[in-house]
Amino acid sequence: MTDTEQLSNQPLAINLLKTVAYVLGSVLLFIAIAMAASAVVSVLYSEYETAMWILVSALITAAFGYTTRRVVQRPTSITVKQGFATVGLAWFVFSIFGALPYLLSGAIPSISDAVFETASGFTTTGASILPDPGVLPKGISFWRALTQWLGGMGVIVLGVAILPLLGTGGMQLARAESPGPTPDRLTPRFQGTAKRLWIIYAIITVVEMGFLWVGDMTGFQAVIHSLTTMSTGGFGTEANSIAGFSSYTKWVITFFMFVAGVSFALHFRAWSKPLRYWKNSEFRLYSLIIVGAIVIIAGGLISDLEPMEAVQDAAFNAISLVTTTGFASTDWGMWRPALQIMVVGLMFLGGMAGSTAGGMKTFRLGVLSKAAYADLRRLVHPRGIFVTRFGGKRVTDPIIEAVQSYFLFYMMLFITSTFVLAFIDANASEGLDLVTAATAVAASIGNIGPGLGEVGPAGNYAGLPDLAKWLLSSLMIVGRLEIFPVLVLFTRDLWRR
Amino acid sequence: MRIIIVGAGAVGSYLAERLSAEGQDVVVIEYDERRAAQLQETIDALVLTGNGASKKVLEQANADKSDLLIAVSNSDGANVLACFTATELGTKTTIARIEDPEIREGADRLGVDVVIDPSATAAEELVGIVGLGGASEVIQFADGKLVMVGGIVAPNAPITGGPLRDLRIRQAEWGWVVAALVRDGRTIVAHGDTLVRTGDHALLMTTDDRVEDATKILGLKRRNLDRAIIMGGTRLAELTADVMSEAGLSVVIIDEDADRCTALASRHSQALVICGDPTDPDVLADLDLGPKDVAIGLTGWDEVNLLGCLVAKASGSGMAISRFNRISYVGLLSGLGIDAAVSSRLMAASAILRFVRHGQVEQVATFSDTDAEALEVEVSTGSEACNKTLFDLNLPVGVIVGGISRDGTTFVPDGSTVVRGGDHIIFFSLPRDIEESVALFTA
Repeated sequence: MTDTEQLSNQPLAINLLKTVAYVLGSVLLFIAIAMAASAVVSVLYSEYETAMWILVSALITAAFGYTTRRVVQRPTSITVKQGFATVGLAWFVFSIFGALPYLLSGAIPSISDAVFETASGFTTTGASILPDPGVLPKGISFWRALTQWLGGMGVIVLGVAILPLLGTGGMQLARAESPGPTPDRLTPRFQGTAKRLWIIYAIITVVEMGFLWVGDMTGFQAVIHSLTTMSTGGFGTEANSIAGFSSYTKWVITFFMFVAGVSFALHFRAWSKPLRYWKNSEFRLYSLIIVGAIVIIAGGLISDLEPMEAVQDAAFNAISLVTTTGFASTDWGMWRPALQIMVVGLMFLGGMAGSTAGGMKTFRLGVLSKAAYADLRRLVHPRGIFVTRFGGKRVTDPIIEAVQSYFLFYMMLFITSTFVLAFIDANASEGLDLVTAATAVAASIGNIGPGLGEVGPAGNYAGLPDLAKWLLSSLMIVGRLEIFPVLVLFTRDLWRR
Repeated sequence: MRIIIVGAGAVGSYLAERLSAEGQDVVVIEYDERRAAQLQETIDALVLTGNGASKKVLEQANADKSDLLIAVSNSDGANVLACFTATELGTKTTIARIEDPEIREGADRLGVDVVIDPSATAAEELVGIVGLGGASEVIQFADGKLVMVGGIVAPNAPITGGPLRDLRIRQAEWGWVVAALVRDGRTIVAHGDTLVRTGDHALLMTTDDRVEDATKILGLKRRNLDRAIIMGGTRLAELTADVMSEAGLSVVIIDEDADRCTALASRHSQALVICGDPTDPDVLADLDLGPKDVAIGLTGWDEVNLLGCLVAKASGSGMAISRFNRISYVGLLSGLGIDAAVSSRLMAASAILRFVRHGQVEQVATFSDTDAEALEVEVSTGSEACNKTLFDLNLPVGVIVGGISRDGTTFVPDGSTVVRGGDHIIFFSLPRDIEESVALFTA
């Protein structure tokens, strides 16, 4: 009888958990398919044992997904808040399933390490516990890059694009997963928008593969690096990231990192009318920030390097940091201190809203500074009415408040997590310096990957205590989902009827 | 289908929600920024802020590629203008809600293809409810030969005496079927083992000559009403006054405005027009309300209608029906002090939904307290359902067939009834199964 009844009157928590289970059921099936694809890659490179273990992981994941889909009925409707909470919970769960291929194949034997690597993958952070990803079996290496590519545009958004996941509820879910305050609609229905975003994302990724393959990368390297550039992830195949590749390859990746930091909805709209890029004020601000960062870094590097080399390193690393990709063409840790401080600053910025980049997002930076300027003018003209505008449109007070509180939460999270990380570390055998702790946190929340000090481009996260790895894995998810979907889980209102 | 809705008032937002949940591409244009932002939060549709009659905004909404424009803002003029501009831009069909009958004439020359006048339908429904006494809805299908009767199940009603399967056997001499129950806000599609409880809002399907039996089995007491006290002098009130007098009731109209009362009195000579506050107990006391009276609150304000009805009931009126603008009040407040509620907005929405489904669906009824709908479709020869018994059809669980009209005869079918091409089939469906079941009968 129950399946013919509408279940809207049930307590929130039960409806919420049902929604989580239902969404997970669908998403786990996608993840299983992606794992199966990685198993095929393994077979192509004759790694039969690895292929088998990846396939086993795929089967376990698919079995879980299938069973939950079978057992849990489709929930009727969900609110914005529930949508946020669902996405928050779902991301934690599928980061654990994504670790199965690493664990079962033995590529990463420790649970903490495997989950860290998976969370870093899905959230497109790119922080790694591997000293040299080159030794990984090809199938596992492909899976690692694929987690970033899926996480970049969002697994749940993919679910909404392909299945009409949850009807109207799907929109609430996708909103929680999309970077930026409000997703830009390309079609009246969210499903159509999600489809178009994924298609344009896939097309640009394939174009990058072509460009990279023409250069000095092997076909495999070209595929891996395109998947992780477009998702602004930053996983690679080499221990020294991009440093060993030719100047051509570096420029291609520089360009595509820039592209990945631009809103994909804007890419779609500007497809036939390229002038639309320049008409978009967020795009102009994003370009301005990047050009400014390149000029400053190049100016700092020019005394030590050839001019062309300085410009190349400045452009590559500045764009890599602003778009939160985390590729490195050189070790920032070797730069002069002033530039290292610049590196830390760039970690907070992020790309445009609606891109695959993490960080604070250009839109929020623009609104924050304009709102601050309006406050300043209010001091001078107490009776004046000042309207904050961005891109020629008025930004309403609720949006300004949301942006300001986001900034506040971001900073509080950064400070408290740095403190907690340092504290965890004080009890571990080796102590971490402040630079390592602070940049590890900033690079995790901002989904960048490498920081400075021990976790810089030349180092990795392997030496951190397990507890620190779990903390950073959570911070990556919190940062990827833009804080609120996870924080909402800790509000009492959510769990009360 | 690509649909533009102008105006996110009660009707507009209700329609946007229903149509987008069904999978249509909906663009809503609303003038008020805050209301637009609120709506955008809750529905999967594009909400634009602006004047729906402006060419610029309609272009932004892709009016040239849209199949349908529904103008339901609160201004008749803006609605007509929106239809006119959209037609110019290339929208295929336009629907406008026009309250003023004088504007309605000639609207077709201004690009309005369909005019929705909810007041006329609301007046008809009021007569149905009054005629049956105690029923909360009376909806006609198949040219009035099949009727869906809705009502709150009374204590000790015959229908509460066991599972529906047993009751059908005991009362087999007349055709009836319970389509659904709404209990505590949940919709339960009725099956053989369903138990009906006192207080459930039951929707029952039967033929027009058995409506009386239907009200009996629900335990609804039939009241012989002979006087209608209409509160308010709105257009709906005037239409209602006319149909009530035609139905043989004497009519009293109460309105506060002296000038309007004079106009009402000159137009409705058969009615007694009283100038006074309809919520004032003294005004009502003068009328000596008794069990044969029905009070109908039809002013433009929900509060006044509810209060007037409550005062009338307390003063002895046998029945009270209130009209609400806010659609959600209809389901929420029916049965709490007032006997029934109607909403002309809900009717407007139903009329538009019917039009949107036009072609496949002959008639659609929507309800105040459930998202489910009752639909009438003509079975096409060659459809999947054709020449199969209802049992073999494997209808979705959220669907129940309530009646069939075939070659002028109407009956309530059972599992062994064979569906034929050309049949008019009336079924009740939860929203998620509507599309599938319509396709089953018509594709």
